[in-house]
Amino acid sequence: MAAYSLSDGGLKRREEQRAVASRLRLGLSRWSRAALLGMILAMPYAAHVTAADAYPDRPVRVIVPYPAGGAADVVARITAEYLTEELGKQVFIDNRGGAGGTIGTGIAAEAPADGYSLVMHTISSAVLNKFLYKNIDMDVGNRFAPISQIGTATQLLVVNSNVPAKNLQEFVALLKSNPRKYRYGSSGLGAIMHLGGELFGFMSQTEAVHIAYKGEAQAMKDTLSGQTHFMIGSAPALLPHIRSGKLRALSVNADHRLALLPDVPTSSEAGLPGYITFNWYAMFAPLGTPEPIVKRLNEAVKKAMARPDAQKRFADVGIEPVTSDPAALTAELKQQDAFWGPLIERTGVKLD
Amino acid sequence: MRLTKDLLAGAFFLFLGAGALIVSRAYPSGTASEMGPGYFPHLVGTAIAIIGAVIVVKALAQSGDSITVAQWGFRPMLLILGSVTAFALLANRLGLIIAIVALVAVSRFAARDRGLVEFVILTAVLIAIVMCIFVLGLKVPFRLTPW
Amino acid sequence: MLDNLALGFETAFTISNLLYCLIGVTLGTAIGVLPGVGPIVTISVLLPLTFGLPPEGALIMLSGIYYGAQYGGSTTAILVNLPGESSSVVTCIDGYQMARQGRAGAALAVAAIGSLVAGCIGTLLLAFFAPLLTSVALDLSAPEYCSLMFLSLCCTASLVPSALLKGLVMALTGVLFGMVGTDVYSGLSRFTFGVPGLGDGIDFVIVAMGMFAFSEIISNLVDPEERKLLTTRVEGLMIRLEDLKESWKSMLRGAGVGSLLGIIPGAGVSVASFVAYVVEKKIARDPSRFGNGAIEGVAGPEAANNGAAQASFIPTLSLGIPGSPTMALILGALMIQGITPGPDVVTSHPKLFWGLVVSMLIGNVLLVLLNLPLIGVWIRMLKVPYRWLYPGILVFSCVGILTINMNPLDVALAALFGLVGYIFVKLDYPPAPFILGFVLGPMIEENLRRALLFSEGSYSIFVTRPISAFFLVLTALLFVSILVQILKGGERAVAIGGRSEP
Repeated sequence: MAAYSLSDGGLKRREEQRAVASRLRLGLSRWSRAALLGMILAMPYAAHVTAADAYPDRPVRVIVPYPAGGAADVVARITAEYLTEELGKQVFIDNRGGAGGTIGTGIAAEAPADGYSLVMHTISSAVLNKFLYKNIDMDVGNRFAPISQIGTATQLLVVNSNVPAKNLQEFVALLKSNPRKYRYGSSGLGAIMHLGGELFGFMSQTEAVHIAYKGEAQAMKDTLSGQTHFMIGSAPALLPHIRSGKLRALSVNADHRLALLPDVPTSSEAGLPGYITFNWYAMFAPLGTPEPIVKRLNEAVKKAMARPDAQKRFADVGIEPVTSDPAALTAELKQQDAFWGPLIERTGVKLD
Repeated sequence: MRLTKDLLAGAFFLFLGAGALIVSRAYPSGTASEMGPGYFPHLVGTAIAIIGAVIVVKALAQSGDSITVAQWGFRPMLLILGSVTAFALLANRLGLIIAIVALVAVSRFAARDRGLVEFVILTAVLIAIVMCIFVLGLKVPFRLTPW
Repeated sequence: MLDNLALGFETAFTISNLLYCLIGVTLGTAIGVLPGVGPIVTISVLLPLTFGLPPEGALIMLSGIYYGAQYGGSTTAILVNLPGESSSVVTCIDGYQMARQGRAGAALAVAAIGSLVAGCIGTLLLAFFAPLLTSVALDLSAPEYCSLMFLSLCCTASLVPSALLKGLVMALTGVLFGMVGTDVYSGLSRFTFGVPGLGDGIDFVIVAMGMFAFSEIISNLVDPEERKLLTTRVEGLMIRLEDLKESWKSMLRGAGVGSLLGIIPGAGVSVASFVAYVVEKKIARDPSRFGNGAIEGVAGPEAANNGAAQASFIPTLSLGIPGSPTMALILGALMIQGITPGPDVVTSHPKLFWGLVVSMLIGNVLLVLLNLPLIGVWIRMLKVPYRWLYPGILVFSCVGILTINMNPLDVALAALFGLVGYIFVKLDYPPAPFILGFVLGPMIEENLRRALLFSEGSYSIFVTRPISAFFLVLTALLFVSILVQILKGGERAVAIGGRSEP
């Protein structure tokens, strides 16, 4: 699995998402123009300042707003391991899980903006929470300085092998003729697994019953046993069960097939173009972190992620490494806001 | 009317159940086959309140042979719980070390015998152990000092 | 099969893996003894260190911490009435009473030996029946979970037949406190009073610390005479032969119950010790001894607890479904090592799987060798003047609670539960049913509502599925036996929670 820079796979993916977003009735062009402007404006800030030369002179903390052992934690720990080598100082993980990532996000936003407190965001904590929690300020774009994207985890749509549908079109037909008879599980209300299902329902014009669980593991267990019929989950956890035949993968929700599952079509090949869902991981610093330190971190991340051994480690846990410049990450954030925001409004999910 | 154990307990549960019902009154209840988030709270709150009422009635009916609390022990209760609360209030504001000093100091008043030397030694030993296990060993990122 | 075990022995018996196993169980015991510090903190700290180890070594060490901590948790439960995990709540009931009667040594030893017996049985079960048990575990879903939890909760009532109302209202109060937090299905915040730290509910450790440890300290300070009993009558450091004679059957029963329940992901470990306790009490010729220091009441649940802990590796490894946050962390460690748990892990990584199985056998033996000599140390700790001991317990509890979420609000909440727990003790209301309701209540609600979503609102799903129906039949039998007991006059029965009715 190669690293996808934003110039190839990323842009194409964005194009497809954009088409869907406009179907969700959204004036997106305004957003993208603003993003482009931001990118241009951010370019010249490349000057070197002496404060950054000494950085870092003590261990750097990466706050993970999720509990230890989860996907975000695994990604953060692998990143920290290579970043430690690049920066020459210990980079350690501080898990501050709870309340869907809002607690850790709050702690990170209020941490000193000196480059010694960073945060690893997921698409949930960086994008979705802003729309799910109305009473707390979860606007990551306004509270954090972007450093770099770390990677994306592609999602798959899988059905239990007892479901009589061999491909996505058959499955959509099945759902259409049996509205609200089929169920899908997710790791919780408002999680990317849930919204991925809502998006599927919206785009395929079908209706299925959503069953919320506390965490992906329990949701997957019931899909394996057939209690729930399908789910939208990230590739690494699903792979062994697809191989064992308990689950059948109907589509890769991305613009390219997965090297590990070469036979599974992409969503557009399977007949649902633009159905693109994924989780991503990105590193931020509290707003106000000095520009040179951000730049130093961005360079360190890029160098760390380019190493072949790092690429392999990420590939092993099902993450496609993606790095980006701060401005590009800001643009990506706006893009994702524009994509998921209207969908969350439509579904009416609220978490506070 | 004597404040017997059962009378107090019954009243406690009655108020707890009623309180739960008041707090949860806005939670949609749904039906038995399509439960809303309020179904269980309403069910449990009602059950607690009813059992509390039954206990009260039973206690009033047979108050002759019921037992009262011999010794409440307000002093140790307030001091121990106060020391824990002090720790909670101080841990993030002034750091762990001062919080531990406060915890030991306040809680020590609960025991009858006390001496300053013993207090200093005990506190120092406890802080040293906590430092070794949590800060050096487990590397928990506590705030240690006020600065 | 023998080939596999041979491969396992080959892997586990290398010097380095034996060392990782020893480090794991030693650390596990140590943190288990510290109130409030769970395996999660320890494993997160050690995680970066395991990057450099081979996967077998890493898994052997982390698993050692996990079951070692289960083990250490019973020590504080017996000595100072402080359960570190929900599974040790039951050990408090008779274990702490044994300690008060000067038999702490026997209680600790029987807990250690019971754990060893169950650990070995659980491990062998894992070795021989993993594939079969995996498919059984998979068939269990919301209806079965709900029925099993309901059965467990009804067990509480049967523990206090003379005071059915007391047990019931305490269990319901526990359920009420368990509902604090965000509702899984609607996202509605219930009973959080706008406090963000309550969104995920109240951590079990906070409740246990408050209701058991803090309220016990207050009780001891109010009535120093009672406490003196504990220190002056320390007799029989070691276990006697008759203790073993009394308890070996309980150990085997506990091991059976624990191993079977342990394979249920996310549910088994928390109910195994409760169920084992009820089984022991139902079988006993003189159930009134329970709650007053019955050795079977320690042996059975402790065996069940450890058996379940070992058996819970089955769904974790073979399905990739962790049953507890600690297990999730161990899975995370495996993922970082590049191994995705799943149905093929046994065949594709035989060294890892069988090495772990054999290392658990070794680890259990190590734990007993480590803990039997330590019993002397613990007993001596009881002789430390209480005015030194209780500030120590308070400090470790408070710091331990703080490490859970780094949120001081949790410590304040523990003080609140201390107050509530103390009031309950003063009014003669037993805390154990409260804890059970607190743990099981939310699970019952979650699974009941999920089962009804599956069945589109029909309750028949609970009786048409055989395993669920089986649990419900057991529940009905339990009710009949309670009725019979009440009709016979159960006034001799003793309140759960240690304190007999005056």
